[in-house]
Amino acid sequence: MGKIKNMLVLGLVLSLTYSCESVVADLNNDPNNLTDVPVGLMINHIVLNTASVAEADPARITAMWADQMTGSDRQYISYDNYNILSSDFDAIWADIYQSGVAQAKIAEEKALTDGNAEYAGVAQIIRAYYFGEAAALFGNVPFSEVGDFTSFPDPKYDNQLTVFSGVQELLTKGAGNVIDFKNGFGIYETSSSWKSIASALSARYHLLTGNYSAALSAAEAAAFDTPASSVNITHSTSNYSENLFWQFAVEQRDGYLTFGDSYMSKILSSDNAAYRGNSKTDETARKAYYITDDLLNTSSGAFAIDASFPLISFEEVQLIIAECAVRAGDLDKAITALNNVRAAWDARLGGGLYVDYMLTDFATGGIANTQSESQEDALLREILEEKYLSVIGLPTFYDVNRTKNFLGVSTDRTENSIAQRFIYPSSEESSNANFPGLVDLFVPTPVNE
Amino acid sequence: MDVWGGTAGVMRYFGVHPETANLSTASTDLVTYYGNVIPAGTTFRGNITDFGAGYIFALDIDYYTDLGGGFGPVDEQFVKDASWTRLRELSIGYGLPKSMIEKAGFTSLEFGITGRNLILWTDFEGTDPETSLTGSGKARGLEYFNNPGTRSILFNLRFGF
Repeated sequence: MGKIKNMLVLGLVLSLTYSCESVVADLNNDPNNLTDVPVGLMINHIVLNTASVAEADPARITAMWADQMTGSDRQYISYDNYNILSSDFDAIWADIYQSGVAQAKIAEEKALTDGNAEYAGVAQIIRAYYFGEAAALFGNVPFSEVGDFTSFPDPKYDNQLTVFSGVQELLTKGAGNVIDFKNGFGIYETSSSWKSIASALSARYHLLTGNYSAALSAAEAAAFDTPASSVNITHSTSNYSENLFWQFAVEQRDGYLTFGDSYMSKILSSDNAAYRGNSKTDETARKAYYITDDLLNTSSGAFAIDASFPLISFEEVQLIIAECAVRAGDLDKAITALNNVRAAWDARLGGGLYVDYMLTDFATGGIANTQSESQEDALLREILEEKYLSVIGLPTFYDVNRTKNFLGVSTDRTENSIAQRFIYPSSEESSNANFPGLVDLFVPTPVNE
Repeated sequence: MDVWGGTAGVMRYFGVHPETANLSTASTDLVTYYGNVIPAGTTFRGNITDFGAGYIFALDIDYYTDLGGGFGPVDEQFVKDASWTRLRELSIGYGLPKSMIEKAGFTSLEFGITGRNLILWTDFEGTDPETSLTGSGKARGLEYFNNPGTRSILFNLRFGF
């Protein structure tokens, strides 16, 4: 009897121990706490995040430093006067590296595992973009040891030129993977394929390093032949998807960022002595497109609520062709590309504003040679000025410094020179053992030395 | 105890701090923050400051809306000693003599007046340095348009049966 009782108790204990296992299995796996996502859900993020570089803080700061815009209120007065701290760049660095490069690398690895060459290519091209902008803005930056926390907890800073050649390799690799792939992921609106986008970005970074022949062939290969080829970050009137300049100027920091007394405003204003109009050029409509009473035109123009903003535009690529052609001595090719851009503006702004230039306009005594300089220099000046007026933010800041301020844009109110770079962020200083030390704002980056 | 006087800094930016209302007359040719020259003998709105080593500047609106104001990146100039002494509480009371109140059935009747936060002695410019921008949060020593500590006056009557 006692034996049976013992057997029963043992049986009960065993059944209590094992029978309910299926009820508690996986209890510690939180279905709401994702540990992984497929590449199809990641790729949109890394594409969307390019807006936080091209159109947000970096664009606003570089627009002020290139004197396209003016800081007119509170912190932006200080920023415009170069009174800026390393901690002001923490968020920008995080947007580029944490939200950009690191995620793009993960997306690329996932796509390669899945055998999805097109997504892998997009991730490579976008990663090249983040690295390219980082190097252009900060100079020497982490590149070769980024995104591998186990092996390189403190990524070293690679030379800017090494980064740029790595960027070109990444773009080539990406272009090889995307082939004819076209997809804006609901973020970009463009008629260009990803291969063209890779070529266009390649042209931008070759130009930065002063490799004009490579920039020219990349820009031509991009085939950005119509305004529809621009890679436009699209916006709408729904909440949080508005144009970022609109959000800043209307919703967040009204009056901080204006056109005030900027060089851009001066050369567009027909009542200013520096007005650049002539018998073939009427800038009144373009001024109205950008500026409303010294403020950003947030109602209908460039910074309207649903106005798109280019990652890289038809105008930029055409004017890279134009500039490189001048430097190669092919003035006919240069003037054709310049006129393409003028014609696009003419169509956008209603017509009758820009008549095609001819080479004679740039000869001594011509209408577009106001400084009595050589034909080449006059044409180069016009091309750079056209780019200054067509491309807002980062690429223009790079141009101003690369050309040693050939246009002569106004330097800021308290300094006699233009800032050459962004300052390394305090987040790196406090967390990366390989931090190279703060580098002054006015020290040229290696490409401009 | 040092406190960041954010209010005084921002008032300089907006030109409502008394310091920004001063009229100064340049004794020699002075250079402004933006590099303009104020000729000797000219009166201008702002102040003349000797930064040492012979750097004497005219501080005008351009200075106060940038480095000299509360929105600029240099905050240290607004961190000031904020030691204080205060008369926290003062009470006086009076108990009526028993002979006067016995007939009404009371064993005691006292009345008094109490004042709280009556006087604050401090050289700090801004609101009460005992308050904190973040309320009861961890951040201390931040003064930026804080709500001041309240002053109160209490009257009291005590009846004993």
